[in-house]
Amino acid sequence: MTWDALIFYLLGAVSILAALGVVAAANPVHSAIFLILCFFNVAGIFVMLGAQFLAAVQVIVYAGAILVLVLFVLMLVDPDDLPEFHNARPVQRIVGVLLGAVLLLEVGLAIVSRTVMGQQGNATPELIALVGGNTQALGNVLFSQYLLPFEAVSLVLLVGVVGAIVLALPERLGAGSPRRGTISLGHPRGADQALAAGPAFETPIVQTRLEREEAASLDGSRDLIMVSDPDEYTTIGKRGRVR
Amino acid sequence: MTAEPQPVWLTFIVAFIIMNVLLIGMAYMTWFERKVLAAMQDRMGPTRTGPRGLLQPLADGVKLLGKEDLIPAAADKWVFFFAPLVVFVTAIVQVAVIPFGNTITVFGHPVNLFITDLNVGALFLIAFGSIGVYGVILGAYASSNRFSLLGGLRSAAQVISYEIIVGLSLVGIFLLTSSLSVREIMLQQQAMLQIGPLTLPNWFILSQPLAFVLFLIAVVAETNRSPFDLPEAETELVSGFHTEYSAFRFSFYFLGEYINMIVASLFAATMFLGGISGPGSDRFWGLGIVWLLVKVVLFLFFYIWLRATLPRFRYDQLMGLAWKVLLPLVLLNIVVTAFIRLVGNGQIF
Amino acid sequence: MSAATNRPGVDQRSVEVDFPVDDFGGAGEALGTMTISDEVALGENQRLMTLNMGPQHPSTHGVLRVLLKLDGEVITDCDPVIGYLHRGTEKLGESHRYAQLIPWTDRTDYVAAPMNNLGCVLAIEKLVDVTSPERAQYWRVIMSELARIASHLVWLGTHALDIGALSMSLYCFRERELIMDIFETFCGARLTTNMMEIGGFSRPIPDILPGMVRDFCNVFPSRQQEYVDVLSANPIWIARTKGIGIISPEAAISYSLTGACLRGSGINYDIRKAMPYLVYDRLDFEVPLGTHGDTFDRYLVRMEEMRQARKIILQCLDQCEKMDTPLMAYESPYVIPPHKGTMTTAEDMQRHFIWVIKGFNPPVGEAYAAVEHPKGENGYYFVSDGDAMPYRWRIRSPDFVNLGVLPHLAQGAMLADVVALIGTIDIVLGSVDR
Repeated sequence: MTWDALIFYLLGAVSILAALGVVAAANPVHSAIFLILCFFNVAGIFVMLGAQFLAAVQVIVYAGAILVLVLFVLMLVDPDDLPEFHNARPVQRIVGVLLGAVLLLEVGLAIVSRTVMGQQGNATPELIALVGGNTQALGNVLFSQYLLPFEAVSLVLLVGVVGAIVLALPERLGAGSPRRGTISLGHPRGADQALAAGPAFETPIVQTRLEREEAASLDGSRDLIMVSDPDEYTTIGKRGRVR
Repeated sequence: MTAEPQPVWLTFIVAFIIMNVLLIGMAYMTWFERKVLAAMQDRMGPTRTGPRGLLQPLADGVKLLGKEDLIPAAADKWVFFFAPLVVFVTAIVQVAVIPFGNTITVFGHPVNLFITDLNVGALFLIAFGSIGVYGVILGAYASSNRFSLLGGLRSAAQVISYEIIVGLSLVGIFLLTSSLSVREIMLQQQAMLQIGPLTLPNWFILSQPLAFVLFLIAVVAETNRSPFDLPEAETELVSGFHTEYSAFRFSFYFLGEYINMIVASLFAATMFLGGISGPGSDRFWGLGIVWLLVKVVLFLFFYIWLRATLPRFRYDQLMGLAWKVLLPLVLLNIVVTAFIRLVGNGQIF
Repeated sequence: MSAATNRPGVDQRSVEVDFPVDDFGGAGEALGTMTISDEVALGENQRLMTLNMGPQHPSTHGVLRVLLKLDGEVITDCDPVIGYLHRGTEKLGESHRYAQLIPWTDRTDYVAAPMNNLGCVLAIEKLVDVTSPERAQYWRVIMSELARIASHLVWLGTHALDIGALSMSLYCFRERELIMDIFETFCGARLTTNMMEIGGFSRPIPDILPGMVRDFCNVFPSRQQEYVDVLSANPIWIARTKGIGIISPEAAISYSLTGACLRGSGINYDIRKAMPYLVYDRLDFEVPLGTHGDTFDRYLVRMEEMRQARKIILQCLDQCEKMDTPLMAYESPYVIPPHKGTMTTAEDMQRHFIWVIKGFNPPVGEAYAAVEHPKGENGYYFVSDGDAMPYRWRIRSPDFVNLGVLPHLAQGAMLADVVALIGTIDIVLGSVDR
């Protein structure tokens, strides 16, 4: 057995164990940690296959960004708020086990009968070296042969971004209410009582838009009123400004 | 230009030397920061430990080792245990792709003054830079402290946002060099550029000035340094994610932060300031390392300077800066660079 | 100050849900170990996190405890909890003689101790109808304006530090050190000065003191320009202060704010102008008023107040350097007898001893005197029943009243703004809790 094979089996074994850990861990944060480990080992396998670019992207995108966001959400959600995951009803459990078994069977059959063996590509080490490396080879394929799917995927992602903004926006435009953003996905405990108008200022600060813009501008110069007579500027005029 | 293959044991020796120099450099980075900060704030800095306080890092290390190691009762113990290691390890691993010179000959052996020449070296640096945030997030989660939790959340959002800026600001360089290898990018900067009567080094700070500024801002944010030190903002979050960490566990965060700064400075110096290139560096390899060190110290000084001068951003201002100001600029930089590259290649016009 | 539960929008929501209505008041709960899942549910999909800031927190300026309800980083509710530094100064005063009260005032607002002394002394002088000599009045103005600068320097340093400008605090304390040296030369103490006495000053002014004050006044403008250079031109500082914590003039008045918090909102009320005490009516100075009422305006107002204070000090120095009149109104029986002779003649020594041990019995009545403290109106109220000890003593501390506006300001602000808001109100917990 060569070193390469040994390392491959090590990476493969750890990634399978990590994947099992994802499913088995009771704490969702631990699941996420196992998933990171799994991604790392898969990236290692990519490196062994000579696809360093893919490995780097795997780490940057999946481990570095997507799972950070997953953790972000998980940290905010109370595990108690996820009853479906841990204290599922018997029906759900039975259906879940059945579906899992079917999936396992499918994958097993596919592996045994070798029907999922794809078409052999032409990405041999020699051809890749010819275009200058795996990054260049991937780039060539992605931006010529698969340009349309690539653009379609980016469009889908754009739709996702727009959707997220639309979902988040009305909260910010709420009239009179302070800035607030919901980052918790947890289910409400207790009574489903609608929020009252929200904490309101006892005395609303009346400001024109112009004044608010001035207040927020990044210009460091602003004049003060200098008075030496105690009787000036002691009453409040209209609109809350001092006259 | 690919590197000469060398035996694995030689690479181990080079790696061993580089790692140790890095750790000692990190220790003296704390001394440097204290002294520079003190000078900027009309103070003396450490004076009692050795001449000019030069033994202060040692004293700090002994102090940190001697402190009681506390684990909160409500902590997630395993995660609490390994989170600081994540920061430390990801920080130190990054140095593997930084070139400290070319191949030299020692006792008849060709020795590469770098650990590895990965053909996606720049991506490797970005990848491990972004993995480091797990140490912060998981540490924050495991501490079971609300200040830490807020610090972890801030860190997650901040690092994801600024990682995009770091990555995209380098795209211009990738376009110009057609390479993702840090060593290849550095070698291409050793050429000289002739602009009229001026002979300038082909450093990418000259051809990519906007990208350099954006990279610098984003890298400060990604290393959680002032004015972007929101995850550990002492005055709001009481040190944020490492509130509950003490003794040696804390020191791993501390080490990780400083090594991250040094690695980020090495990265910036190699990508934008030509790395080891400088007068005489093509003749003496030692001079090349000196030039690299000078550039790194400049960046580190810049870090400290920022810390002494600037107030801290607010969370929403930080995110606004990344997405509303830096991201459009960095995209503009890519478009303009790509356009110039196409014109230069004669592919359009 | 747990009026939070009575504010609209708080108690109505929490009546039906499964946590106690008084979840803010449950101090034991909030102080216990915090777990992440310990958030409270409020309405549909709305999970708020309770964050306990203080009393051991680097940015609450002492032992203030602020209970925050956070929606993400946005504050939906804020409740300052005070009393961690309560020492019962007012009750203690009922068992001390009048002259013994003055050291207690040092310990209220300890960053501007001479101003506290002055308010107390002025109230006692009003009660017993003593007027200090003119020269002593000038020196009192000098010392209180120096205290104003010292207090504003502490404010500026800590406020900037809260917002993250690390170096500012060291720059500010560098200049404050000069003022502390002046205080030390004048009275021997730096922080708890106890320098004012009923009737003036019983100790002579050291010869080097006018020179020290003048040196400080010469060096200060350039140093202040450094602060302005570091902060006023800094976009991050401006973004962190402009438009943050806006107090409308109505709100400022209805919360009975005083000092820079009131003047930052554009209301012209400065006791030195409105009800001049000492020699302020003879001095030429201006009162700065803000135009927007935000944190930036209060910053500008306090910076300008430091410039005006320097102007006042120089005018006073010019005046009192010409004078060679006494510093103490010794003719009054309510004033401590002269030190001179206590070590040589039995009569002088006895008189002095009796005054110190027995104090004096002021006429029956009451008196209130207020000074324009760096933080606002610092008032002292005495009720005398003719005894040597006051029947009732009450301190109107500006910090305590100004702090009341914090919940109003914090709602809808972000977590990072809370420290900026505590800084901009400029509190000293010794004065809040007394």
